[in-house]
Amino acid sequence: MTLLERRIRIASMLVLLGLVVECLTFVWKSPLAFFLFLIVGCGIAGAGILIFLVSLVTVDRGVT
Amino acid sequence: MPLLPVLVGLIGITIVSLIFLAARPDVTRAPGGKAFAFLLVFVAPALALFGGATAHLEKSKTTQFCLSCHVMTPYGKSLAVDDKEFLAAQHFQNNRVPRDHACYTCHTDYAIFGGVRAKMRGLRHVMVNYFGTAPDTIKLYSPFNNRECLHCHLGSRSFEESSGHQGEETPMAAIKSGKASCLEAGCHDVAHNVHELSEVTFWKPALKELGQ
Repeated sequence: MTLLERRIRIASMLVLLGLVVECLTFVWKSPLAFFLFLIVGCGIAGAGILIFLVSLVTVDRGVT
Repeated sequence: MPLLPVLVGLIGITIVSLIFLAARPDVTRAPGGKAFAFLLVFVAPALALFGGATAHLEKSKTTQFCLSCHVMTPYGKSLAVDDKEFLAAQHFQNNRVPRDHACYTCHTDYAIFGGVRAKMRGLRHVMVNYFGTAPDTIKLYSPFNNRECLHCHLGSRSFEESSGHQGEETPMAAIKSGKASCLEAGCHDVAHNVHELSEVTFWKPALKELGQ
C-alpha cells in the first residue's frame, strides 16, 4: 500500500466518523447537538478532508 | 423537497462508499480512481456538512428548540396565558403565528436567527445555558422592531383601518416607519410579562402543547 493510499484510508475513516457524528446530532433534541455537529462532526470530517487534499498535492504516489 | 431525508440519504450513500474506500484504497490506482476518491472524501462530505448546518439552523427556528433551554420556560408558559391582553399568548393561541415556529416568527433577528453577529450571540446563549448562569430577566439586545409585526399586519384591513392606529399620538406613518413602537406604553405593551405569570390563569390546551 502506498503512502497516498494509507492517507486516503485515514482521511476516509475520519470523514466517515464525522458524518456518523452528524447523523447522531440529527436525532439528539438538545441545543448542544448543534455544538456537537459544529465542533466534533465538522472538526473530524474537516480534518479528514484536509488530510486528503494535502496528500493529493504533496505525496508522491511511488513512495511506500 | 424536505431537506433532512435527502441529506440523510446523501450521508448514508457516502458512508457506505467511504467504508468501501477505507477497505480498498487501492481502487484509486484505477483510471478515475482519484476522481472517485475526490468525490467521496471532499465533494459529498462538503455537501453533507453544509446541508447539516442548514438543517440545524432550521431546527433552531422551532418553538420546541427555543423552549428546550430552562431559562425560556416562563416565556413558553406565557404563550398559554388566558388573557387577551397578553400579546404573545393571543398570537400563539389564535394561530396568528405558526405554533411550531412561534418564537422565530416574532424574533427574526434575535440570537441564532439573523446575521452572523446574531448567530454568534445564539451560540453564546447555548453555552451560557449549559455552562454559565443565565440572567433572571431576558432582555432584547435592541428595542423590538415594528418590522416583526408589520411583516404580517401591513396591508391587513383590521390593522390599516383600526382607529387606534389612526390617532394623532400614533399616526400610521410613525408606526410604519418605526418612530412609534407597537409595544409602546398604552399600546400593545403586554407581551410576555413573565413576572406576572403567578397571577394569571392559563389555557390548558396551549400549556399541554407547549409541554408546560
